[in-house]
Amino acid sequence: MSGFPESSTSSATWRLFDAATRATADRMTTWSGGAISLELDGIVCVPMHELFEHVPGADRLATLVLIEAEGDIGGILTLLFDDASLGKFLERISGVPVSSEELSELHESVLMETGNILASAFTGTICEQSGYLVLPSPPTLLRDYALSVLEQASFDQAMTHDQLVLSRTRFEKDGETLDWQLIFVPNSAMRAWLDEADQTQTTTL
Amino acid sequence: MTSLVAPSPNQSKMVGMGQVELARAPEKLGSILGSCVAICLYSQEAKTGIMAHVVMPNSQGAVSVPGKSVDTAVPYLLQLMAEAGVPQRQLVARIAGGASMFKMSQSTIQIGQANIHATTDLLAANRIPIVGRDLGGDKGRRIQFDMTTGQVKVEIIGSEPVVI
Repeated sequence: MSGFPESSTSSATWRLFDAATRATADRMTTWSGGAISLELDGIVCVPMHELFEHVPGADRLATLVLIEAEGDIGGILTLLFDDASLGKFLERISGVPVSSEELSELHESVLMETGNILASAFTGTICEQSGYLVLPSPPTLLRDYALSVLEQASFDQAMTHDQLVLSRTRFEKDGETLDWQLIFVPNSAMRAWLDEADQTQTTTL
Repeated sequence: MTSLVAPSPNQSKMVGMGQVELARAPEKLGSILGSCVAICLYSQEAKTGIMAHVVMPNSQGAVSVPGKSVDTAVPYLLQLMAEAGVPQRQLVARIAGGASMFKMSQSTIQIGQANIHATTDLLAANRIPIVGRDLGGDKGRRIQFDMTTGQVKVEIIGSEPVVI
């Protein structure tokens, strides 16, 4: 176990991801016309075989928008929707109903733009707080088993660690939690930086 | 266009990343795979099988989680099966996974392909015949390993399930 107790809100890691979540929440509130907010749900450090237990719905099919945070440190940011909530979100943002079996190009475009907006806020905060240049990649839209995608997203960190650290952010509307998630899996370089920051508490956080 | 049609749910004991599980008939083991590979060894005589969910091809000396890397997982599977009374000569292998689901700048290698090559090479070196395989591509897989038959059902979104 590294310095990441799940509920340690005083850790450098928590403060980093909390700041990133707040910046992302501001953008999401603007993008959704004030309807939706975000809250840091937790930072978990778990044995890799337990990953599926810590991501609700990880063993089910989902629609995912992936964006890589690229730089000296980074990771994979994943926006994850189940089917029912995906339709509600897209209708809210686009004003166009979703058909039962497939997404239109308009709706795919809305998802990609949502990913772009959230990722730019998230990576921008990482830049400010870490001092490293971290840039978001273009988004990738996938329809697949959520766990299979998160597995590959975790690969870089798994190469150097047996326990995986990830941050989970939940979405809320009018005080109710929605079935959407924003999950960030640091890569091995960022994990090493976070470990050091938590041990020394001497960063600018 | 993105299809929103989902296949049927799985009813198995889940084997997570780096994990190894042994089971006997009528039990079933399940897993969800991206770039990882599931190595399933089975003895028809003993109606016993074992699955490793390997993440990477080479441990580079790290042995704390033997199921994580192909080079440590295969000998560990053989050891556990031997301890369960199943001789190596009875074993056949079925393997699935090794997809490349999206491109990442942080990885300079195609990890899915590297996992596939390491797995097939090491099984061949141990003279374990591979009787079924479903590998590669760019989609995730949900699998179910049935100890009654030794077969592995593979589900990929947008395709009919296959049994290997």
